[in-house]
Amino acid sequence: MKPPERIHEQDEPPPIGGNWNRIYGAIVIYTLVLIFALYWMTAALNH
Amino acid sequence: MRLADWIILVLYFGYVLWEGFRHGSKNQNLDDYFRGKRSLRWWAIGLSVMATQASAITYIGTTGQAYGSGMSFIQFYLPQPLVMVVLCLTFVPFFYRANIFTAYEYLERRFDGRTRSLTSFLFLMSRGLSVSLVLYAPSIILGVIFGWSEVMTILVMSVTTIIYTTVGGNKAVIMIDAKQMMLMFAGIFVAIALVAARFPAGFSMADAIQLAGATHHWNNIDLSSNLKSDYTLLSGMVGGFFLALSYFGCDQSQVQRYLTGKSLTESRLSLIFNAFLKVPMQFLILAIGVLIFVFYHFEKPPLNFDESYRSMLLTRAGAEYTQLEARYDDVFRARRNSAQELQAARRSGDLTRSESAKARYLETQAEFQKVRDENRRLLTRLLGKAPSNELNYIFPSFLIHYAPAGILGIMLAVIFAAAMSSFSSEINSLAGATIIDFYRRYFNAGASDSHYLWVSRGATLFWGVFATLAAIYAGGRLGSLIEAVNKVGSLFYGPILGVFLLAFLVKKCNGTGAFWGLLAGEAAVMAVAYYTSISWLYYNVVGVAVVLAAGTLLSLASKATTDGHG
Repeated sequence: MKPPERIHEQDEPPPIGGNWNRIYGAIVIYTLVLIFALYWMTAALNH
Repeated sequence: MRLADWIILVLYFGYVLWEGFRHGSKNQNLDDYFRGKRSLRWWAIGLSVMATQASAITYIGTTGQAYGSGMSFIQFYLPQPLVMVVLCLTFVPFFYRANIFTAYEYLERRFDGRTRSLTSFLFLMSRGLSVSLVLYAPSIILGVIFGWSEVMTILVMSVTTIIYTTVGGNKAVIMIDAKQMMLMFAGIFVAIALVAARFPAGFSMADAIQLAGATHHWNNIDLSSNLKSDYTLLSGMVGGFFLALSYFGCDQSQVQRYLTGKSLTESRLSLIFNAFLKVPMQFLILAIGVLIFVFYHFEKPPLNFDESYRSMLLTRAGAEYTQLEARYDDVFRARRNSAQELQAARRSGDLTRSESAKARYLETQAEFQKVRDENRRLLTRLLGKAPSNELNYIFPSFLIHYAPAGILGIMLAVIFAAAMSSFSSEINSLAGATIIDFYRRYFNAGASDSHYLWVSRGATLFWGVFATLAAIYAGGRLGSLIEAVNKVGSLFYGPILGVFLLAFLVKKCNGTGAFWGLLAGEAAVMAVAYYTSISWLYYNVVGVAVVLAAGTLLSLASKATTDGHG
């Protein structure tokens, strides 16, 4: 009899970056960079 | 509309129907129908999450907002990457491991049946109320701009979507969403290229960016702390954060996307994908509106983007309106000339000349706006009420006048894809909550797979027909369409998020605390909406705070009472 399909419920590492915390950290940095870039754009272009 | 445009639209509608039927034959039970057998890959789920959030209103309303008041709406999207992190850390693993069909099912395991039912009911209320807007809003605008019948536009979109969603289930919805989202991405770049190609000879993209800056259209970030202002960094990062967390974490139309992941990793990756793409995508959509604003410095925009008003004005106030149009011609020419002078002055590098040219340009811009405002006042006087929000007509009006054959068809397919991808996910999730949280829970717990499959199709059909009829018979006036949709959601989102946070974060919370805390939160949000003028983005914060506080206190009180009696 075919065994029931296993659903991977445990924390697997992400395909890049080694672990999830690094990915989350990258997203936080990315958000800060976005805010800074948009702020810079506001200050630099609105004149 | 030319033959090439019609061919593209026919191909688009034919494709989505074919894809729906292709997946429909594989559905055998509820797991297939609502969770796609938990077999989907991250990219498809991620694109579906984005497509569900981006409705036609996003393309039509957002570009119009940027045309009118610049980029400030981008602040509303800025917390979304952080929201995705919170979801990956909490909601997604909790839901995925619980092996549930609806987010609200989780609440019964954590608290009790009534908390689950009340939360699911609030979802059905809020989503059921807003789903018709997804059809209604674009149909009204496309009707005015293209002369199409609103009812026919609604029916073409809704009947096609109802068929592929009812037959194909969630897997078909997600796979079609993914293709629709790719089309929408392509549409953004096509629209930008189309506007840029229409700039006058010698006027570059850099010139366009500079000109928009003179009127402060690049107002991406507003650091003010005014709680009554809708779009500031504070309202975006606080109010927008809670709204997005509630929408992506507790709204079944989104949860049902990432519950289909082949693994927890696939579900998480779909949200990580969103975290990186959503803000740039929204930035580009807003930028289309800003570029159209610049474009209309060189081509005269209609005095009424909602062109149905022009004939009414000529009939009922002919002399006054003709005079207004003549003045409009004058101020348009003056503004165009001053914009060209500003461009030449900036290129010359002469600061004094630039400052003087900018002052002249801003003066002509103010004159131009003054005539447009007078036109609005005339309309208000003749109609006896405020006219429709012209910002929602700008993008479709631009397309009908300036898109070449074929490109217009592609852009219309983009608008239809945006509407249909949201509509399909929403009726699929409404059916999911109806069947799983109510029908199977209360009325028929032990029926066969085949029975559940057919009643699920029936529920999808029901919600589709309900939304279609509501869209056809919806009356009244919508403000800025995108705000209208978000405002309806904001009355319910905060309290629902509060209950889930109680479940995840407050170990001592019990069913009594969660249930009455939810009701207290909903009452608080209604009171704030009715009695105060704070921005609607803060309703979510109020809802979360009241549910967390009331739920925790009531849980402790009910436990103390029980202990006392014991």
